[in-house]
Amino acid sequence: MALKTFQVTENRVQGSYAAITAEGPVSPALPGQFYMLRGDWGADPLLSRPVSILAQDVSSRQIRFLIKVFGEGSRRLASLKPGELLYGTGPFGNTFPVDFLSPEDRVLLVGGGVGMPPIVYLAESTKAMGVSPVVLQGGRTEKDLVLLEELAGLKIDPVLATEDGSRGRKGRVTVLLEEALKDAPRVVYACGPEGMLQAVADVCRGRVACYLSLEAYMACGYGVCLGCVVSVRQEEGGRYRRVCKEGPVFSAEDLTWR
Amino acid sequence: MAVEMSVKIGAVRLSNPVLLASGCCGYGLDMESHLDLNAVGGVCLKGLSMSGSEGNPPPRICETPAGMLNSIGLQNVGVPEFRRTYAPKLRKYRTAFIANFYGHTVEEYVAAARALDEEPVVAALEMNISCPNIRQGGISFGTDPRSVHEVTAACRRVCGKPLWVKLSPNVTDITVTARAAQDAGADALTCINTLPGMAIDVERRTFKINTKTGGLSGPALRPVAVRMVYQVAQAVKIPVVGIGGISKASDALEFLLAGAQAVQVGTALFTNPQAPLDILEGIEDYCSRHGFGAAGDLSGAVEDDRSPRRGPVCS
Repeated sequence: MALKTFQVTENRVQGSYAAITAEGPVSPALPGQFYMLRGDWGADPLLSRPVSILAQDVSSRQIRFLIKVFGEGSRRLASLKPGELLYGTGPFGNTFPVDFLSPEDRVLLVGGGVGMPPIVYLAESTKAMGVSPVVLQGGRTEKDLVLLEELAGLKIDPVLATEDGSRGRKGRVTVLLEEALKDAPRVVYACGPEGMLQAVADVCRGRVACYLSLEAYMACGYGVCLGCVVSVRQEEGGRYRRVCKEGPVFSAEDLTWR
Repeated sequence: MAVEMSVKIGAVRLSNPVLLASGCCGYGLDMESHLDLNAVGGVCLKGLSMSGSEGNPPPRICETPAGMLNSIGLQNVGVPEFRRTYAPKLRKYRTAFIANFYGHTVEEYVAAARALDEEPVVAALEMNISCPNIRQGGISFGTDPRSVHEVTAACRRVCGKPLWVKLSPNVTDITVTARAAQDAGADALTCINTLPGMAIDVERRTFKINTKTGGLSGPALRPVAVRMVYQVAQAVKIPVVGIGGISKASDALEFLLAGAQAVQVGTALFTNPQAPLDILEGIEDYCSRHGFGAAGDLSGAVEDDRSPRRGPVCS
């Protein structure tokens, strides 16, 4: 595929996050899938950045991303202004398995920080299937809670937790998850920082099916650099899987992380 | 007038001088949906060993100024599995597949060379000599001219197909290892492999990649690579294939003018899998503008004369 060119139409900054809307050649995609994005800045920073799709509409050619500033590449992406160009390859990766869901199932979506876009996209997609999910969101402080307007737009009232107690329950999102498991959910889907995902996997182990969408450093996004691997339990096919290709969504049971 | 884009690397005829670099395009199959493999002159497959390798634990890569470090650990499925599962799916392509391979002993190199030489889909072999020689205290084959000669000669004996040797830049004088490979029967030289580097995360006080050191690739490497291609091309009679940070046509042209007969595009594929198409178009356009009837004529066409001028060679 050729490098796709999108034009930024809106950039809403919230603290260290930027919600970018862009217009361009939007391909059909599924929750969990991502683009490798860059701006028109030549060879430094060299690599594109993996960024999950927050929302998209093929017919109006609109796509939305949430960028969190980590380093130079994400800082530049987050500061793109309306009218500026965004270049990308994608969509890449797999999606959350949802085929087995039926409308009466209870479904838990757990997210934090820059892991929220796939969660919001998944919430939109399960609602379209007639399944209303419960969304749990955790963050260090109130400032780390993101995409609340987008969730409200989907008529979802998320259950919130902050480590400093500035909003919602005081503590980590796993406190909310422990309580929510009492309602016997069919499945838990989660996306967020690795520490959060490991904690979610620990809580769910042996109790409920759990699928995690991972973040990783990656150079290519389409399976050739082998830079983004994660360690898995299966013996067959080696101990590593590519987050970009076999993932980013994995069954929590399959991961050994290192 | 149409520009003749095909080039010959020894006995191998390539439809054009732009190849995909080993380690940056898998076994070709992960590229299929992103780039027409028949559009490039050749595809250098991910480095194979007889027994395969799971590769190194993550983190395996990190970005550096205009470059990146990688320590993938030569992850590969092994020659037998490659032949069983991957090679049959490559038969439908006309492009030249170059099988990159390595070992940790001369015997391992020879075994891989022999098995890949028998594989019909393989047009030529490319030997990665930047691996540690476990019989010589882990010193890389590619840094010792005697080891280069020994492993090249040993593989040459079992190999009917053209044998390219991919030189390590981690040497005092690359012309010495280049000549050693030539003298041992190499058919072509690929210049250069990645340069060992290191990056430290100062806030976390850790190394950015798991193995501490990794191979530097990308534009940061390019001036070093162009210099080495020039030196090697002056020193040997066999063809040189240039590689190191090529992402656009002018980069590729630097290597060709410095003396390479063809180039490989690696890291640039990560951000743009179709970068080779732009590069090819740019080379063809350059040939037209500068009066070169064939891409092969570009090789070594750099001149010492720095007087201001130079308009098109043709009038």
